[in-house]
Amino acid sequence: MKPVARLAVAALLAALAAPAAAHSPIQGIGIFYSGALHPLVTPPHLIALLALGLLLGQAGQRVAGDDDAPLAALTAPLAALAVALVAGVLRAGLHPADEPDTDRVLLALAAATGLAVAAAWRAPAAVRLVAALVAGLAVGIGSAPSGVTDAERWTSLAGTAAAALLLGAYVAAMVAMARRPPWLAIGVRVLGSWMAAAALLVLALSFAPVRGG
Amino acid sequence: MSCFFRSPRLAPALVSCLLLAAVAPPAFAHEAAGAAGGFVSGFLHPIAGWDHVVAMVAVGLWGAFLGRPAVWLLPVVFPLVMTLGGALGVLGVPLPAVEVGIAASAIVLGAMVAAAARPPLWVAALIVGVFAVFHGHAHGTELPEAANPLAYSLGFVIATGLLHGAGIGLSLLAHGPRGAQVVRACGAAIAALGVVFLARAL
Repeated sequence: MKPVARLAVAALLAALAAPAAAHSPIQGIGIFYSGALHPLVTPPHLIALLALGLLLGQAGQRVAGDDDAPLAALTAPLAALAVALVAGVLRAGLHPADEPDTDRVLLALAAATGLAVAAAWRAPAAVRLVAALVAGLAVGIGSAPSGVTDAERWTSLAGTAAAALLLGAYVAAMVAMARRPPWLAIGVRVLGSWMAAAALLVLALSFAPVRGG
Repeated sequence: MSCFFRSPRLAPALVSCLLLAAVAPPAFAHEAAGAAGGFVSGFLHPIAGWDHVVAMVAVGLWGAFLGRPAVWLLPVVFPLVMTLGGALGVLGVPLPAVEVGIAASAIVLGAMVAAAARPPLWVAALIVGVFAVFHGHAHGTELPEAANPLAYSLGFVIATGLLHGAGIGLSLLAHGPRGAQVVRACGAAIAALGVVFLARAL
């Protein structure tokens, strides 16, 4: 293409570009974003998903082969996470008033997976699958919004499931691909110990006697 | 100078980032409340106390003198051992003379760095582990009053880890003869500060 033509095409595209709205004004999309933010701003959900991503990614780091091999190893556990999230949000959507305490489950999961990552434990595939299933179910079940219509609830839960899956998958993929230099693997173990330490402390708090004041 | 580092560009950048991260003030884009406020409070807790700061930096400095695997083992294990002390604090289990223990950690760890001591790994781990309990207890005692306990926990665990990293980054200077003297002098300064903290605690 001649330079003048390229310039003309670029100018045409610039003239036709729509404004980049940071928040969508379309009604209904707002509640979706609200649901998507839920696992990111709820500490037990966030720490459990981060720790799960570290565990899955650490296993991917050990997979021999080219750069695509670690990502292929993530397929099964991430599929399990997706299925569990769908099951969890379905449960939350059908029984919104019945919300069991999933925070302790998520904190226990974060502590266990964080310790596994810190120890660089070669968790069997079945263990990773179970961890993904537990995380997905707990996040989904514990994300039912209150004070909304039925349609808004389902939209919010869809956002939650999407964001939770994306978060877990992104962390897992980034960690799995971080095979060089070797000190990155140590950094992953440090992150795992941080997750486990924080989760264990809060679990201890949940069993602490109420202090008089 | 480049011979002191594995990567001429990576290591200095890492040192700079870790130092900046360890001392950078928080950016209050929004009013500190809930999870954000809890994280900020937890993050500031180790940094606001010089006794915590110098002891944690000393852990990083000493780990680098000890070499592999201590240099990376300590940052992995320390938060978990610190959790034991934190759990004691959370559960209301008293630990006698916590402030004295924290001051002593600065003295002992600073002296280890100053002497470039290289005991067996299990001895070093035991020393660091004992002091980790004292530091954890001090942080854990504040946990129940935090705006968001999990965010608070993450905050002080991350801040502690960054201080270790700053110490490890500084210890990269120890790969040269003058650098090693500078690092050992830092250890001596930390030990001296520990004596001041101990005097205040008694």
